Amino acid sequence: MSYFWSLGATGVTMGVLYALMALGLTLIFSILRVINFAHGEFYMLGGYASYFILNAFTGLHPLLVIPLAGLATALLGLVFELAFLRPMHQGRIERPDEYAVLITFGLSFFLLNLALALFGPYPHRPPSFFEGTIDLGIVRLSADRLTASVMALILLGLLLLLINRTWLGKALRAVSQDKQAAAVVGINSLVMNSAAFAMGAGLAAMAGALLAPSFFVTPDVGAVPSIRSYVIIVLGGMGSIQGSILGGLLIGLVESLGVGYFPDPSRALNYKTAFGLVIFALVLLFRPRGLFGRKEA
Amino acid sequence: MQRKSVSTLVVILTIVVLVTSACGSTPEPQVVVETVMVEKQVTTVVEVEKEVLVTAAPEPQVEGDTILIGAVGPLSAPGAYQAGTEMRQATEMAVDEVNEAGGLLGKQVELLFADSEGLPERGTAVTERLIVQNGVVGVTGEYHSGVGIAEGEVVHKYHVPTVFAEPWADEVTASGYPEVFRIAPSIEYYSSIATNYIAAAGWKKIIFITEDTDYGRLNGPVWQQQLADLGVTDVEVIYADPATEDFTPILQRIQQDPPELLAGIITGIGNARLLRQACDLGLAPTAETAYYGSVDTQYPEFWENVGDCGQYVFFTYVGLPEALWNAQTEAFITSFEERYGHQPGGSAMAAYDAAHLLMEGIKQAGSADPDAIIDALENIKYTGAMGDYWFEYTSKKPISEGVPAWMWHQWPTPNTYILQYTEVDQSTGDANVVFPTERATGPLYTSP
Amino acid sequence: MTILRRLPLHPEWALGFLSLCVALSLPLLVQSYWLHVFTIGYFYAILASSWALLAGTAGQFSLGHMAFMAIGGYTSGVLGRFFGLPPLAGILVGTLAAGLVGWVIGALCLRFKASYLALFTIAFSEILRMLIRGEPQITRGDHGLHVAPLFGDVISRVPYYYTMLLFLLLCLLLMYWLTSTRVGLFLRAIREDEEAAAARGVDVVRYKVLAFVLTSMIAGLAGTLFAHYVAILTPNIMIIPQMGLVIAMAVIGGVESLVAAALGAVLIEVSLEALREFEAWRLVIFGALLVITLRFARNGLLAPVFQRLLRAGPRAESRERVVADGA
Repeated sequence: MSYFWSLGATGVTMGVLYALMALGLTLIFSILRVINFAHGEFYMLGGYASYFILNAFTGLHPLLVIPLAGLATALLGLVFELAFLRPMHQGRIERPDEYAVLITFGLSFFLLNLALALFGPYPHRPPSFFEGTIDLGIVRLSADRLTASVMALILLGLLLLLINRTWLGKALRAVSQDKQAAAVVGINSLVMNSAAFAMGAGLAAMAGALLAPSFFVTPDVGAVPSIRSYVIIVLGGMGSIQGSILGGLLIGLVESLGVGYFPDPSRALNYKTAFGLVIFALVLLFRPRGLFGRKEA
Repeated sequence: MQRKSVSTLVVILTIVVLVTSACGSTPEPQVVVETVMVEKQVTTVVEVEKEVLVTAAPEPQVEGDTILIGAVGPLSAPGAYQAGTEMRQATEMAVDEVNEAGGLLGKQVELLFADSEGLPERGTAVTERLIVQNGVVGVTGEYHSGVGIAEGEVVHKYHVPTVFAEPWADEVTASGYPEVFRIAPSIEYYSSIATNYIAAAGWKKIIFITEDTDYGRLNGPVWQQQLADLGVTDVEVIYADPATEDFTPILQRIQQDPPELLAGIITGIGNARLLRQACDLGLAPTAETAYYGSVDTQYPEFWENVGDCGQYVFFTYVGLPEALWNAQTEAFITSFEERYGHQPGGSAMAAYDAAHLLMEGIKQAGSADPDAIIDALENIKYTGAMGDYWFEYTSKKPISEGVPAWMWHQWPTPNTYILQYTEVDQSTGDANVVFPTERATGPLYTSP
Repeated sequence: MTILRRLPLHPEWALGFLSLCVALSLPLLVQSYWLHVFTIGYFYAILASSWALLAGTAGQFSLGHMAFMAIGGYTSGVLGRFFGLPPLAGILVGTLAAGLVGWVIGALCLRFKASYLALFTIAFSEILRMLIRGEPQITRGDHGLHVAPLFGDVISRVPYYYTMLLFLLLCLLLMYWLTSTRVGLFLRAIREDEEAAAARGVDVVRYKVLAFVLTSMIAGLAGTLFAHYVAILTPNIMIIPQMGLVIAMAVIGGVESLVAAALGAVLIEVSLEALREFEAWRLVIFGALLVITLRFARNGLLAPVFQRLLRAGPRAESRERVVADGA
């Protein structure tokens, strides 16, 4: 039984980080109605940002760099949103749905190749948050990973506070529910779009920066997490914040328990991502509103 | 609809051309040519096609002042371009050395290094370009096995002598092509060093975590078989996507019944992730469980990514470890460092020797004739930076019963050693050579 | 022959004739290696133009086009490996197999809007890639599946060049014919407003699936031709950045025009080769160009160039049309 709990603990620690990244995607989708196909690249940039910032300022504590990495990437997201997505919402672009898919996919293609050209394909690792490992009784985890999970939990909490308790959060929710009505009460939906996209990019980047000491960073490091995030938001119901958090935890658990209990250990890892994708395709086909999602408006 | 007008007409034109021409004839590509061109042009097309066919046969470039040598290797992703870049530097150095010593056949040697990108289809295309378009006398280099196999087909087709530096798959030489020589170990040989070491160290229960790419899929079954032959039967192979981020769940599973040896046959980022996660869980390397790392353990990035976890890890090193350098090696290392400002890795050394070997073959052949060069290589005795080269199984001594097919044109004693890091941040030069025992510089295994 | 004589009179004809002449006489002009680059360029041109039909005309933004290409190539390659299927039959079977899978996927994707369809097809493509890599007993995985070359021992690239060119022209013809019939009209109607089209009696299901099946088959055909030309297949040909490259080709050429998309593909493939010294930066340039084109030139960069060229033509009527279009 302790085996089960130890797998469960691993799953949950990863799950919160998955949730953090997926939440960025959800935020963007619920406000802009756009699936950000460059989300994995924001995750990757977060990792590189923390690596290079820490290389330049060796005195900084690695934990302090997390918000900086998030901020830097959020700025990039903001610039992209203003230049390429805002015109779409101003009605200056025909067939906006298709445009949104292509422009974010194009951004992903560009950023991936830019990172390859700038940083090369070899893995880098920013310094640890804290050295050593921590024994939780049921499982021993590296301090880095545990720190990442705890930080992710704190960030999730802050984000929920922001969304539920602040004016910005209320405005965002208003725009996500009804753009016209929001405009009537004086909320500029274009500003909310920019805010949501920047925050979404920042969340992905912070997830990337938090995991960089554990998983390192290469230009294509975002590929697996981004696909996982798509799985999560579809599972959780597109645009649902609670759904993304639950979906993140669920995927974390499914991955760790699945590998732990898959009958043939030699193939368990091989098809880990593929199983997630199959579940994802099935949910898309048979329950497009997701497992926890509200009905699509 | 309006904006379609151009494309519309272009397409209509092609329809017309095809319809007016292709009536009744089978869709042979040449038919299109003949019918579109006026008759005079048709004859030119045919003539030039003949010319293309003629130049398609290899025509070594020896008339001018230079003699051309071709080299292939990965210089961009998805290829291992760090290794490829180093190979290019070493090959250039070898060519310059030969030129300073007076060149070959009274001419200066010119090197053409082509990027094979780690993709078989690219490898064949650029090799063909080197041969057909540039007219190289011989080919050297390559790093990736799958690419090397594909390139072997091309050099065989055009009958161009080739000395491969780094591709390991048995098939590279097992094809038995007269043109193909190799100084890298074959997978069989490479694995046998490690499996014999494992047997000698006495580990009985072993788990391999192997990437499901050509590298891993090549190694997995070979290791299992060799270990079984050595009496080690409790061996499990687990395949993993090399992009896997988190190995923790499978490691927790393994931890339920820990093996005596955990081996991570994963290149790139996965090598470091797996080791670090095993180390964090307290699974390996420990007093109970030893840890074997993949080829990438030799690169400096290894330490950046694994930190303290790298201590006591052992791995297979292809090349000559610092402890075993001879005068040739010293000379190579010194001039390489002088020229490029960093220490050469195993791939650089192999590329350097392979290039020299090819040029030595041409020199001894005394001509650019492929058959003469192949004959010279079959009889060659040459001392390079990694040792004394010769080829045991050749046209004069064909592969006999019981000898594996990959021994054809294969250097019988490629440098393959087991090294163990005994300190954090140790370089491969300072690591203990632990196997083969007769060349060891440290104890067989240092336990944490 | 009367048609041929009339050619120089119309700029469109002249332009088309010129590019066709260049393509046909290329083996006279360039060396074998560049012929190879162009052959691969035509392969991408088939993919880019069929994707342009699917995305541009039919409005279905599939990110799984490379998967259908791989289905074609691997079907032919695997059947050849295990059952000795000859290349010509392989091309046929591979194309049909891609069409069959395309029919299933197309039918499943019917009700998806742009982003859902993109997500679903990306998932499909990735699952397929993992399967191909994970089952090396059948596909040889990353090791590379050896495929019989189409022309056996023929060394020259010329026959391959003309074969690829021929199939490119045939595919363009077929797709052009399709878009110029009522089918094309219906597809555009569905793209603009599915419900309105249905209300007017367009069989939405039928035409959407038709477009998906047809473009899948064309992608599959391209895959078989590629496989029997380069003679080796690895799962790397269907990684997502490859899909990105095809999209970049189609978009930069002009996603609304089949020929512009095809020319964009050839142009990009050739420049990728010509700019080799820029190494990794080449793809950065095209990535940037892709994003900028999407934002500022929805018709692509090539399609407007044609129009500009043709503006000099004698027919005032076409000039007006171009101006009207540009406004």
